[in-house]
Amino acid sequence: MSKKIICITTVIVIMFVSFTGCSVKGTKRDLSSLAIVIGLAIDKNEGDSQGFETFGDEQARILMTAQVVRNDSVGQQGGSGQGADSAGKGDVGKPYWNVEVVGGNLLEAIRAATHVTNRSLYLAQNQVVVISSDIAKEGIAKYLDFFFRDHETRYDVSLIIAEGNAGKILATESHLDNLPAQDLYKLINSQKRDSGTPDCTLFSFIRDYKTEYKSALVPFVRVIEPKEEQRSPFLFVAGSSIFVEDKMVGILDEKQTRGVLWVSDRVTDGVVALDFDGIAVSLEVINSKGSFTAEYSDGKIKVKSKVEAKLSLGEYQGQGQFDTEKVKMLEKMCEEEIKKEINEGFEKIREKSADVLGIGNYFYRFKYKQWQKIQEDFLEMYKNANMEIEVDAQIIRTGSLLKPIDANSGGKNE
Amino acid sequence: MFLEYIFKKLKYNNNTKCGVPQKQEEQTPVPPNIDNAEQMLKERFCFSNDFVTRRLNVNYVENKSCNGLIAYMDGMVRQDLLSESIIKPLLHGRQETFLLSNRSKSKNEKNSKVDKINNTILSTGEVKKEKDFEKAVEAILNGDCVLFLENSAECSIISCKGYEKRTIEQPSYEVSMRGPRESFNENLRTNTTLLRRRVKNSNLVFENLVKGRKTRTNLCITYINGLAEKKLVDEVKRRISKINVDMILESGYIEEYVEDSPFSIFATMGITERPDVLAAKLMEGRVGIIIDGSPFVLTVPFFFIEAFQNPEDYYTRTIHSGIIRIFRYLAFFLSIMVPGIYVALTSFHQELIPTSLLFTIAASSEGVPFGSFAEVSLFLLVFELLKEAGIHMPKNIGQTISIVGGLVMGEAAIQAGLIGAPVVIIIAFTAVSSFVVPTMGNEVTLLRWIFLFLGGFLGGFGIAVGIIGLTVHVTGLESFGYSFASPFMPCRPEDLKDTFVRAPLWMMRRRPYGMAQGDKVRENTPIPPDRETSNENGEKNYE
Repeated sequence: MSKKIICITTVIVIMFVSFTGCSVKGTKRDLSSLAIVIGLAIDKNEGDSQGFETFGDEQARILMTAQVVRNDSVGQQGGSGQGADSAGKGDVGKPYWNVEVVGGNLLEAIRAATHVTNRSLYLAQNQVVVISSDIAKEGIAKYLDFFFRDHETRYDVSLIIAEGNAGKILATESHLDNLPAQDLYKLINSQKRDSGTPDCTLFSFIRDYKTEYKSALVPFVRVIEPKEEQRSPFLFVAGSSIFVEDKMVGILDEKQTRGVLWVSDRVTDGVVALDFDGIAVSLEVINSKGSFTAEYSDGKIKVKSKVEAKLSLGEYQGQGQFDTEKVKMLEKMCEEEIKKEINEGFEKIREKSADVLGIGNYFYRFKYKQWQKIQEDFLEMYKNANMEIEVDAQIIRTGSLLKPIDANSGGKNE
Repeated sequence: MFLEYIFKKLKYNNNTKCGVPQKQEEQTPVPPNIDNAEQMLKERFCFSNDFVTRRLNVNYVENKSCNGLIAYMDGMVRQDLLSESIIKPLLHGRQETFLLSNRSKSKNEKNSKVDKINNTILSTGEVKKEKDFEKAVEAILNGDCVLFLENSAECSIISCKGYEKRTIEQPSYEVSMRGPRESFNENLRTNTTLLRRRVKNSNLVFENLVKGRKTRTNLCITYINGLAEKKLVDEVKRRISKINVDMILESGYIEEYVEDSPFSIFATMGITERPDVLAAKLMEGRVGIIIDGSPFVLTVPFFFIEAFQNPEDYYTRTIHSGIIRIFRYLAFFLSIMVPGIYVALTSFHQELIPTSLLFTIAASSEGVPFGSFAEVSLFLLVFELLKEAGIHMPKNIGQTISIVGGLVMGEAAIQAGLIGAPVVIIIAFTAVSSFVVPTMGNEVTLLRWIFLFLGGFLGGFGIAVGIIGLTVHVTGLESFGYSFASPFMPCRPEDLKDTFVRAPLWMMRRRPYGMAQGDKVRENTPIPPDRETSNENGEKNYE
């Protein structure tokens, strides 16, 4: 019996000793000791360093903006307490605070925030990372190392490229939400309704970066300031930015982005607007499937892409009957339109040598022998690649009306 | 040494070596002289005020009479029965029974005086002849009256029990909407009758025992002969026979002396106050222990899942009772773990909380002076105190205190900034969940605090350790030789019909494994019940 007691006591002692890893002091923290960060922005540091001591040379400094939630201003009790009363000067009293810190690298900057915040920055609830296009042009992969290495950060946060200054994006207040970063996150997510912008997380970016020759598309956001005084600036998601390796090389607008997304099977919803002999018609995408095959023959890369789209008629601003003839013609027009989009998109990415579709990867996985031949000159060949597009659009529904609302014009009977 | 003792108690089967066999009661003969008898009795009862003796002249045979003494306890006998059926025939016996006694007496027998009286004069239901004075005293204490005769070495114990007892009322602890509303009361005979009326089987056995040296409490072990395993009945009898204590006041005393694992959180013996529940348990092959003076009957063995089985489940239809039973399991686990998980999440694992919920919780804890763990444990303590106070409160003040406790404390505390609103909701939710399974009320109270401390000090890891520890503990318990966690461990799929949901009654064909050895099959109704169908010719047949 005493042997058993010795065994049990030893086990308990070992447990308590190893519990120091999860000891109260180390990991327990109160909610009121956290500064919950919901958005991060990374900029180049122009201007002075505001008293922050950093390492490294002046040019390499970054300005990090962390949007911290003010705990007592969100939620039932807090909201009523604060109200719309921004009694302080400047930006005190808002439900959030954009902490601006200068540092040589990310971790130094975050830790340097202790000079100005009374709580430690808590990154686990971060939702967006906004990087300014100036930094993006020089390469962003080195900044992403911190996000993967730290235990608290998550790498399913949305990655966004800002036109110009990234901190301004985080400071642009939205009309619908309290917190700009949360608004931005929801904004990017809701782009699925139009498929004009791809969704991109840190994880998917790094995955594409590490895939040989594959390029990523990252949402591109700009701030629009209306000319009228009463209207406040707002965010606008303007297509996507093209990345080769980890450097930004160009921008695609919405139509071009969607063109590329048709083929990569990432179109979930959207509207195709057509001009049907002077009648404005809108078709809504219900379902879409896209795939491509590639082949190397006659010294050229030939890509065959196939898109199957199911659409429903959203709007028909015309008169007259709506019969199968017209449906077929509409389908044909829609196919032409989609082909045009895809061509435009492909042109643009081809000229930048950005293999967004993953053609190189396709060769590597499915046509290895050919890949071995073209591997070294792939990017050159890609610039001259040929794309054959086959689109099959079907209009499967016409909404709640069978005939156009304007079918019998002016009361005349047909 | 003490640790050794504790470890032994924490495991099962601790009752093998304890207990001292009781010494034999000394035999004291009944004194033939009734003056002596009266004196001995009065001294024995310490000249108590409620002990009554009455002298009378007993005419037991034609032309012969002798002195007699009736002794009884005032308040424990039925006075009408005493005077009408006992004293009256004894006094006037000669006239009425003269002819009778001559006819019924057989000429060869030499009946003693007491026999003659018992057989021919007394008109009560039960009479016994007794030679031992101690037994006579015990009979008086039980409410019978004793008749002593001059120059007779025997006395007559006449049953005429009649004392105030509670009427049969509705059950207060196991309430159900559908089902019989009778519950046991404190009288042993009433309880056995209630059971007897439901199991009209000659194999239903009541074995009487007397336990407690000073209180001499009557116990009954009941089981259905041929259905319950002999091993189980013998074990129960063996354990009860080893009890050697001064008093047994309630079934809880027997439970504590006889159970496995006295230091375990979980009870390994079931209690019930409803005769229909007891009848159902006996029919499964279990053994019941009824104690005089307690409306709660012990049932043995007891499994973990039985706490979640309500008699109403069996009287309502399958689907409804199945869903309700799943709710009960859910309520049990929620009421144990919600405070602990809340504290663990907000103190250690804030990343697991959805963002908007985190904002709400952070907003409500912003001005609060305590940390999350202190907040929750403080309010949980307040709730436990309120609950305790509510049990023992007189009905008049009950309303006031519930208003004070509920509204004022909750609302005012939030307004004052002492606690946050999420904490109040958590505790209120826990409280409500714990009442869904009232049989587990005691266990839930303790387990809740354990998980709260584990979550508060060790976070999610602590909760995981707690769950593992709880599982290890529950599966290691035994109840009178049966595993406490059956039918999960050892796993018997056919017994799972009554755990998470209740399978329709016509699906439960066999009794629980290993329990009812005498009669394994419950019923022979076909599955599903007979349905009338027509075959091709339009004739009706049943299948």
